[in-house]
Amino acid sequence: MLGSGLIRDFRGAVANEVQRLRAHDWGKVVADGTDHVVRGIMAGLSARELRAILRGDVPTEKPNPRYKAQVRSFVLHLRPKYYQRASTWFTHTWRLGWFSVFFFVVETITGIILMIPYAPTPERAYGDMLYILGNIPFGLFMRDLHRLGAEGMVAVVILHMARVYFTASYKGNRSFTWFTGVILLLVTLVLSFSGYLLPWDQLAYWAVTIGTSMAEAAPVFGNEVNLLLRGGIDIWAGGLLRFYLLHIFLMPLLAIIFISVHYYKVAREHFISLPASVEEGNLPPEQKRHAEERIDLIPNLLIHEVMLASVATFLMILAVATFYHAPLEAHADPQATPLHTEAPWYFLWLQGMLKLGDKSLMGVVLPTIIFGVLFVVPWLDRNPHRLARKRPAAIAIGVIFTIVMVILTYMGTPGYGIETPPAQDILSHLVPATHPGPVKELPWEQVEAGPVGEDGLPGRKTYFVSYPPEWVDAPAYQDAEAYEFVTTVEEGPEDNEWHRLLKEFKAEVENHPKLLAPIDNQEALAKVTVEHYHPNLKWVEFTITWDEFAIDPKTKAVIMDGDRPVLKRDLKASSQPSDPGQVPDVQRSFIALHRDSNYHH
Amino acid sequence: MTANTAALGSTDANAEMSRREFLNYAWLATLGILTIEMSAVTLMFAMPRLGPGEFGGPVPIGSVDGLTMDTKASPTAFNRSKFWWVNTDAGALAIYKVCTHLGCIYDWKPAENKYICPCHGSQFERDGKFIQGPAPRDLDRFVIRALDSAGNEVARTNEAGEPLQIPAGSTIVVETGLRIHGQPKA
Repeated sequence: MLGSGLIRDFRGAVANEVQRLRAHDWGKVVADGTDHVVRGIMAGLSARELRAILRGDVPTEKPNPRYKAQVRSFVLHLRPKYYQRASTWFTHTWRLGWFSVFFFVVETITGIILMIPYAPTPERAYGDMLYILGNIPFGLFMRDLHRLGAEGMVAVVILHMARVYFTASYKGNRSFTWFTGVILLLVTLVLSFSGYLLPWDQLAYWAVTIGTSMAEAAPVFGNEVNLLLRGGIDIWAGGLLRFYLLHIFLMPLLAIIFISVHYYKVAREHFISLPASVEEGNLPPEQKRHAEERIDLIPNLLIHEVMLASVATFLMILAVATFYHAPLEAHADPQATPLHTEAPWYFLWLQGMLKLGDKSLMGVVLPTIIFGVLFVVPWLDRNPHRLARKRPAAIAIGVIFTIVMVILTYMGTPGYGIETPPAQDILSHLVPATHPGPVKELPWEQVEAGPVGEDGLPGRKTYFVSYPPEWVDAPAYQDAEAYEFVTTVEEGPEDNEWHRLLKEFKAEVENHPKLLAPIDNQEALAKVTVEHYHPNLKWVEFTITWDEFAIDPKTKAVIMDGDRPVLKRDLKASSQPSDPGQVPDVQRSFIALHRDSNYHH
Repeated sequence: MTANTAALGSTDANAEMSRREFLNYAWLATLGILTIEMSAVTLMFAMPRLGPGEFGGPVPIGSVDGLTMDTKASPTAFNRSKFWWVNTDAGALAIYKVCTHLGCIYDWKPAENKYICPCHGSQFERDGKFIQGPAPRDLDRFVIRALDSAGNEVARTNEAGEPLQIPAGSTIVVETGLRIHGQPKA
């Protein structure tokens, strides 16, 4: 029958096919297929070749598939195929250029993540910061990592420039690479500084106000630059948005463009410089040949870089998980400048220069000249030699410049050369404008204010911190519920955090050479009053009342009237007869403590 | 050898400009000009504009009768408009609240009878005169205009920014867009 014949043929065909498939080497089929896919993804490198790379073995095929991959793969083509051995010596480059890119990548990744919960408006920015730090899993971690990476990037970029200068790796056809490197230094500084404003806290607000106001000092177009940056007369919504756009868009774009230009020259034209000792020194031929020998990027150098990335990331995470935390101060307040606004560390040199003179000259003209000179260093330095001993002038200038920058940085720290009135200084430690401070952290019960009176008047207690000794026995101050004299006696059983703070306050006031107890004993040098305003609110007022000797502005010596030093208030009274004067100077700070605020831990 | 020399062009520095070359310069020039124009447009686009009423424009502060005219009193702060109202024996001043050094907001210290900047410690007298510190000049002041009931100007701070004697009963407008720089320090 026709039908049964067909079926028989079909069975026969199936049986043949099965036999044929059985005869197949299926292991090989899978291996070939996998190999095909792997080669397709990994720019022609087989799985076996990849293993060989990770094992540090020689290539498994001929011609060298690693060279081929460096032509086929976009990522690998960015890198040179080989290096001369001596240019990879760790102590020659310290991998500083590599670390700059590493930090740039860290900043890009953490930055993009941080953009998700953050909106750059004055209404939201600070709240979003608190939300990131307090409510979002890994928010604090991500922000600290971003900040640490920023500090790292600035530091590494500066060190990279110093290394290239001192090893004279900017000469000849490396001149333009140096030039783009200085652009990248500027881009890095602006990148970092533009991020400074985004947390919208007091430090951010005022550091950027000072920074942009430096731009204002530029000749001719200074005012316009200032307006453009701030987006208004002072920094507000427009300014925040502008800094945000600079930080997340314009500066990263410039960085990517100039990193590409910079690295293309390194990877394709002149490569990393050889140490001067190899290039110019009198090495024995054998050693020289070894030092100049070509070594391939793949495998060992690439694997070394993977190791560096891993270790550097681990160290960053370790720092962030243990001790490193980015600061966040109180919400930005355009009406109140905090005492001691500090520039970020990499701009302290500029702040130091500003203390030396006019802000147009020191804040704009000189920095412009400094960067201008940096740009043209390769063309100024006509000396063809690279060995340190053959370029003593260049080395000396570099060392002097470094020392000057370090000194200027020191001079830029807030403590240097700025005279804040001592009383204000001491009180600003106790009651700072920018963060809660030690008083807020005291346990509520310890800050005693005395009982509320029967007449409903708030309880009130005065702590005499530094006082004329005879007051202790004065009948007026014997009510222990209303008055207390703080003594220097070592910690007794009654001592608590509040009393320790009072004792520190006493020591600070009494040890300060400029704070003279009021001469006429009408006032205590320092006192604190605590008022129990209502059941949940205490009002604490710190007062320092002091006299000052009059100082001759020219000789800086105390003015004497015969053998008696003249007081400042006497002088004031004589120059301004209408001034009610004739009283010592007073400085006060207040702070309100609320029962429910949980600063105390 | 012949092949190589034949491949070299004949362009030299003295070659006359061809039509093609001229047109290509023209294309490049249009792109160059466009770039400059776009930069100018971007600058104008980004430059902030200040409307009247906000800081940077005229700020009416009411009748002079409502203001402290005591020549010894502490200065009156106008926080939103960023100036101190001060009356001296010579007349009234509207002193810009921003330090002439680096743009911090300085404070009035009644105990010291002077303004002290918290950032870098510059000090100024009550009428804005520089005392000490890194600031380059006296405090800046705004032009004060005194208007009568009909709205006519009866007195105005002069170009030197000297204190203004204000006629009784007039209404005061402080021009926060017209800032007069203080005298450079000696």
